[in-house]
Amino acid sequence: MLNRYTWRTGVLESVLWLIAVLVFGIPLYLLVNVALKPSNERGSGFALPERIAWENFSTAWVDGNLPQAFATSVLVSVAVVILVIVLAAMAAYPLSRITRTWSTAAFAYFVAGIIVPGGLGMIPLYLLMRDAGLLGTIWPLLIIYVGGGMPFNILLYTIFLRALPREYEDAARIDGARPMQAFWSVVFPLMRPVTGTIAVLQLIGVYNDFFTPLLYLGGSDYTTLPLALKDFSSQYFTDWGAIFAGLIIAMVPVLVFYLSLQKHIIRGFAGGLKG
Amino acid sequence: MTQLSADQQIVARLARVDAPPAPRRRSKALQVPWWFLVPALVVYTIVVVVPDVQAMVFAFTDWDGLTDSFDFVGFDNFVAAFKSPHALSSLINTLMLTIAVTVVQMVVGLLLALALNTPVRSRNVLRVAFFAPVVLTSVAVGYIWKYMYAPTGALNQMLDLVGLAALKHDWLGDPSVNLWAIAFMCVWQSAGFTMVIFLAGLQGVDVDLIEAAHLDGAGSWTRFWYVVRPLLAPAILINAVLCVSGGLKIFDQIYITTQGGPAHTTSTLATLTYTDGFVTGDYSFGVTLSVILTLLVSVVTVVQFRLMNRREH
Repeated sequence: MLNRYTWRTGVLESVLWLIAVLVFGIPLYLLVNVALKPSNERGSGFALPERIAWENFSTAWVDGNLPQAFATSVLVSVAVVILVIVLAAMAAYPLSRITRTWSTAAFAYFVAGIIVPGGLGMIPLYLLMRDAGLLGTIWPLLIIYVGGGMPFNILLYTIFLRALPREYEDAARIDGARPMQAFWSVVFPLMRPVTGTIAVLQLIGVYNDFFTPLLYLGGSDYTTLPLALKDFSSQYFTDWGAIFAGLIIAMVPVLVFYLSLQKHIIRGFAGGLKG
Repeated sequence: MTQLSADQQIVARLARVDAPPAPRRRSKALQVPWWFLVPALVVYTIVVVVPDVQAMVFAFTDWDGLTDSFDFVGFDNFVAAFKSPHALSSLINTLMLTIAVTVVQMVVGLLLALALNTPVRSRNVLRVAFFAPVVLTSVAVGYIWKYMYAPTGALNQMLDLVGLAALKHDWLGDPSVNLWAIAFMCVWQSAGFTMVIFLAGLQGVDVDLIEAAHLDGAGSWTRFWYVVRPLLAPAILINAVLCVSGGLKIFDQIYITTQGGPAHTTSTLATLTYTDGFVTGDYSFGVTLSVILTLLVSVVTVVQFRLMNRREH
């Protein structure tokens, strides 16, 4: 009886829509509206533009260094996703199948990385990269995202593998598969649900990250989307049209990705954390 | 595998009917390659373990980040950090921001989850909408709210429109409100995340239990507090830990909107570590601040787990 749609549910539904429009609709409207306004049209951001200023988008795209930022962001995100999946899946295999003291200890060693908050070692890490001559290149980003991603993703894979029966891989080996082959052609495909979760979380996390590129690419020739957007505020002091056009350009790919896979993405965020 | 003769196979099959399965023999072919974990181990050790240990050691030395030599100086760095003009106010700002974000985000996230766990028809659309800011970069969120909060910005225009001009503020400049304005912006971005975790928790709550309480005459508040809340305990703990540890580390939104200013009124340990540690190159000060922040996160997390465990028993 509590699951019937009554007049109260109707009121609740209206209130929720009111919140959605006020809290999310208004910023979204302003974002699009201001991005389409010529910079010489002053006045309220609510007023519709007298002329659609598509040039805001070309200004942002060209002057904001967005093509390069896009290429770097996509390259780094995709490379990190692949490396994290390969390394974490491989590491989880012996951790879940071998029940010796050393493997239990190794598992604890990895999980400790989840408990210690990230950021503790950021200055020694920065100096390490400086001494290795890697500042201003994308290598620190790749190494840091991959290494930092190990604890959580190894945990997810290990939990999943421990619940996965050994019969499949045993059968593959009896049929003559080598351990490498048995892992990649039998075990790895079976882990697809976890792989999907990890891919989604890593892709969005790396694509959106601001702090790591700020430290390692700040002031260099390379830039990522969040870092390029940050530089807008110094380039166009109050040119909100160009800034918002840049934000839209950077947000559209991730929003399209989100809306087309929303069920999986939301489940990934919720499930990945319950893991 | 050795080839069994047909007779042996039949015998083995018959034997299997009665006898419990014999313990499986691990022949050499069934070995799991231990070296699979080496690449992960190496990169994790270099990027996480070594720098973390170095930070904890360097915080107790006079190391300057440039040379290899250093001496141990005990707690001198910590004393100096708290004597520095901005560290204490940054610590207080960090705590206030974290408390505000955690309390508001937990309440908002829970209310949204409870509302969307009803037969509301558009619950899927609304869930997607409320979660959407979570997938955006916090740089974009920072810009959008910097625009909204400007003295002649959208928020003040709306207050004018509805006749609440008395409530107008310079939201990011006025020290009496700017920290709360930043807290609101952070909640705006992340409440959908808290909501989704609560929704996952609510799916595990047996509807029959709530129906039974309803039949026994329990009102909606009683049903929530005595039936739903205890069953939601794991989700509450996860959300509390995530809100607190995330709140203590908020950096991007502050960097884009105020850079910790004006006059350090929105400065936190995270922004101070960046501006005084990295930008000015005072590495030992920065390391000390990150050790303080880490201790804070660890202590709070442990306390949260303790409190939750005690309640469950």
